[in-house]
Amino acid sequence: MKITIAMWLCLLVGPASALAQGARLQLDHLDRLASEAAQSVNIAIDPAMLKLASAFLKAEGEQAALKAMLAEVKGIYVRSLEFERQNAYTSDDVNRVREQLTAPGWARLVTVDSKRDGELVEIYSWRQGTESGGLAILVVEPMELTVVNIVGPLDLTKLALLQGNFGIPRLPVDAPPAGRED
Amino acid sequence: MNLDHDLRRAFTRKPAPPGLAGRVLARLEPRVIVPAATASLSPSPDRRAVRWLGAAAAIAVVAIGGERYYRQQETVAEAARVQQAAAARVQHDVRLALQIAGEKLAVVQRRLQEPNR
Amino acid sequence: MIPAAQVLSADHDDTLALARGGDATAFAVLVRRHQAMFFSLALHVLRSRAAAEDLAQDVFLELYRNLWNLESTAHLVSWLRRVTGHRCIDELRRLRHRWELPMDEVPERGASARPRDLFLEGRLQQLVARLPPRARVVMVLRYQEELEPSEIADALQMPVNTVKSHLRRSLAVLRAGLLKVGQP
Repeated sequence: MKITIAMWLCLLVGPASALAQGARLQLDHLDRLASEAAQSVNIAIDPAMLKLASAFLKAEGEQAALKAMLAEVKGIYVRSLEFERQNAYTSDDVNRVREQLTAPGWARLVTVDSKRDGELVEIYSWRQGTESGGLAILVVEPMELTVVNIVGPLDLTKLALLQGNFGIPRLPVDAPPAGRED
Repeated sequence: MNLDHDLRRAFTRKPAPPGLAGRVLARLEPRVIVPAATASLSPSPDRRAVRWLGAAAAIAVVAIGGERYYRQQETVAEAARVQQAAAARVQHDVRLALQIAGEKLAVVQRRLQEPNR
Repeated sequence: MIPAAQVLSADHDDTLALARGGDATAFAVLVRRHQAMFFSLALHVLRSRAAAEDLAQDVFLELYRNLWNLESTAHLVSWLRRVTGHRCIDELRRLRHRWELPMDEVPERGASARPRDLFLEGRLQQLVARLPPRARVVMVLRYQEELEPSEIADALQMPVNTVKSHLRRSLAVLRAGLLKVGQP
């Protein structure tokens, strides 16, 4: 009986929580890897912090471009872990991110899977109706695991406006909505 | 000898140096600590009136409770410095996040442009 | 904008709520309220004012970035203990070669204390400074903050029995160290 109730709860609460989560990925499970990483970056910027950062940016030059971008963004979350050895993270660590990216709203834009280099990069976009609501970049390499999650109406086209700044290249904005793989 | 008692005495809390937060933040982000409103005070009649009113108000406040007023002003100034430093830190994090995103997107771009694709 | 006077007179949870709402004055008040605790903890563990101030800087900014996750003053205090404790351990590991610093790195402010007490306190601080990083932080949390082993375990995210074991072994080391004083 208890199991049946738990199953019904999962069925009812699961999709609801996935929707409530929106374009924000939960990456806390990766924090335990930070102590094993040779280099780690943990960035979590919420709306209040973005507002604060934006308030002190000038309306000219590179700062103006950043200010305009931040006006639309609702959150920036990054976990980047570089290890000195292989297999420092598990497939479960990656799958827990991927599971979230299968939730309604997320669509994979590009996949680059290089078997030769053991390098996998996936770009996902989150949409609510026709509106873009977020972006996720997942990078899986033998000695690196990186997740970039930008929440807000920012797609590759808008990110391309920043190209030339912050090391952002000319972006594959015309990439098809489905995944492309090697 | 009571070791517990001696250890408590040896490890009593030390007071933080006065203005620690401000000094630490100034050392971290010296560029964001700017004297407040030095550039905007031009000697217009309105400004002069404001200054006189401000001075009168300040004298009144000092007369009522100078030390408390000073402490509050110090706190407010420190708060402004904290806010500016925190903003600079967040801006740094935003730039770093965009740099990481840029690097990864460059990998995608490079792969997509490879001739054998 | 809430006047500074109101912020200063508000109780702790009100100040936290105001700071979480983006009020920088309230945040500065919070920092002033708690800075003695985390600065002193870092100072006792690292035995260097410069290193303690550097660490305070990090904790200070990290607190600002995490205000939105803190629900109460008790939560804030426990968060500060945890972050300061962990950062102290990390810093000690990073600066392993600087574990033992000269005694004058920590100036004594208790001018009224008797010379014999000062000597004993200095000797105890020196002996604690020779302990491994985790044990050192456990000792300072126990005797500076007067935390129970369960509270230390919570702050450093380690089993209570490990904390008790650290305390037991450290006290034995200190007793042995004190006995050596005066011996040729």
